[in-house]
Amino acid sequence: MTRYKLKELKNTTLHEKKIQQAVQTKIQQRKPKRFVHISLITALISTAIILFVLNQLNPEQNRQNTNATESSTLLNIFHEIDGAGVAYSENFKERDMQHIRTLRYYREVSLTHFLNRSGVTFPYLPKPFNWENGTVIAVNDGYFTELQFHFKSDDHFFNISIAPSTINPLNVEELEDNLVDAAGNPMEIERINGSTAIVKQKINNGSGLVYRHYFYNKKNDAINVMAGSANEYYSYYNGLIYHIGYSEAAPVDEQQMDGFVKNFIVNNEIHMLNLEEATIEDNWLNRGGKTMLICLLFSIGSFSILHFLLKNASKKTTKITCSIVWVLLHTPILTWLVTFGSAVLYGDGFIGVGMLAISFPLLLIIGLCIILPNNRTFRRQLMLIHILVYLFTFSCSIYNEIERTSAIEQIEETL
Amino acid sequence: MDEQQLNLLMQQHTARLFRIAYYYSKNLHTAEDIVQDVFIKFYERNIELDSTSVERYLITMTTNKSKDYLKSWHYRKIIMQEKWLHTSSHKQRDALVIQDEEQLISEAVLSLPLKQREVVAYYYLEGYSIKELAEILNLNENTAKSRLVKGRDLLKDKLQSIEWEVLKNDTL
Repeated sequence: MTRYKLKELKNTTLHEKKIQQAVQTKIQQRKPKRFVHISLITALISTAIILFVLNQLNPEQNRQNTNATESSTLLNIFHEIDGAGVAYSENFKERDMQHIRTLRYYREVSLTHFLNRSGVTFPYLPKPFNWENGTVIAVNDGYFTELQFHFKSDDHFFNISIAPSTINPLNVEELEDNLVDAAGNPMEIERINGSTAIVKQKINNGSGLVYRHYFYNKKNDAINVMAGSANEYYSYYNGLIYHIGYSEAAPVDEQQMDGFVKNFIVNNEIHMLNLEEATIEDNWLNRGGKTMLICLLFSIGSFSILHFLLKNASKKTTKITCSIVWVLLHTPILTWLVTFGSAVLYGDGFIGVGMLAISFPLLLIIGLCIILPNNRTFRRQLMLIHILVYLFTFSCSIYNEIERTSAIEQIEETL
Repeated sequence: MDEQQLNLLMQQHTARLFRIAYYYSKNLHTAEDIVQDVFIKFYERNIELDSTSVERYLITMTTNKSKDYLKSWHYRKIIMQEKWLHTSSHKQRDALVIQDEEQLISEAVLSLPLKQREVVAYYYLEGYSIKELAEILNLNENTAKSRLVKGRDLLKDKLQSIEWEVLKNDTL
């Protein structure tokens, strides 16, 4: 029996032919050979980007590059190793900001070796310390190298730390008005000249601020920070912060030690060494560019992997997988990008923190609202969000670079 | 599956799949697109099935694809546009325009709610039994029956003024 057909469907031959032709054409167009080429090109570009990023991230590689271009530097005397912690003056940390540095650490060498390689001399130390058994540790914050000379005598130590700084943390007049350290112990000031002085913090009645210095951990082949108590000297002279300490119980003639410290600060030869050594190249990559590229790599990689993995997956699996990836990977990446972009645009980290608090939940909700409803084009919409965020962040970064370049040019013109 | 096998399948099933896609989309061009997508996807999946299962498989794919289309923004946009256009043109239309009977039946079937329209179409227009259509649409047989009864009642109301012998003699 012939079934009743709707009026529009009485004669569908033309439509059938059109369908068949369209299917045949589309299948012809989708030749696997072309697909292989695209995959190959994508794989090659991805590998190149990964290698580039890995190359940029490898500090040892960067270090070797630095060595190749600058054959004779102070850090060539040392060998970079792992380490943790920062040594700084507890009393002056808010003024010199030494405690916020991120450091690279270099293995301890003997003072004799250091002096031979650097070509400088070192004065004789007050008894019971002897410079011949001294060791030197170097740390670098990316721009400046800090040297620490450490001497031992029985259970006692004597430590001299020299760190370049562009900020003078000592306001002598202000200090003279209030000669008490953060723990309430009295301090002494000895002027070197009109504007500079040595601040002495001697431990009284067994109490005092913590004294930190680096030490070489042979077992782990790493530099760590040791905290203890010591009589301290602190000074800023010729662009260098001197932080000197010796064991509280060391049998030292205090007058002799005071004299040595003053003489050392004024006359030492260490200040002739080039302590301004940039181990981090000052370029766009090190000002957030590297992280942005890594984020971009992760985004492209995740979308490509999702595309291949979910090619034949059911709608439910697709949605669950995309939601998980959105929550665990895309939202944190996009949040960082928004935060970074805002902070760079306004030049204020607090705005970045504010944007972080706003953008994370917002992006999370927007993403899930796009993925979870019955929306066939949700992947395109997620990609669109990514593109917009990347455009914003890269634009902010480029704007910042332009501003920075013009500011540097202005300073140079003024000079 | 090679292209020859696909061509054979298309010759056998295109007409039916096209009709099914039309029952859902109510648009000939959209129905064409849906059926094209179904064949391409089936070809890419490269599934080996016997002839009966292939037909069921293709029908299910078409049904799902059509339902996806009905949920899409594209379709919703069209509906919105049609609503606006319909309202404005309706005012101008002469109430006494005479439409032929076939046109009225077609409009009545297509104006049924989706749940009733699909069972009516599968049962009356495509000739599937209740059991078969319940399997295709993944429904309980009783649900399919009740939807069919409701669909027929709605059709009765819509087609009060004309004869509809094509449907009225069928019993469940």
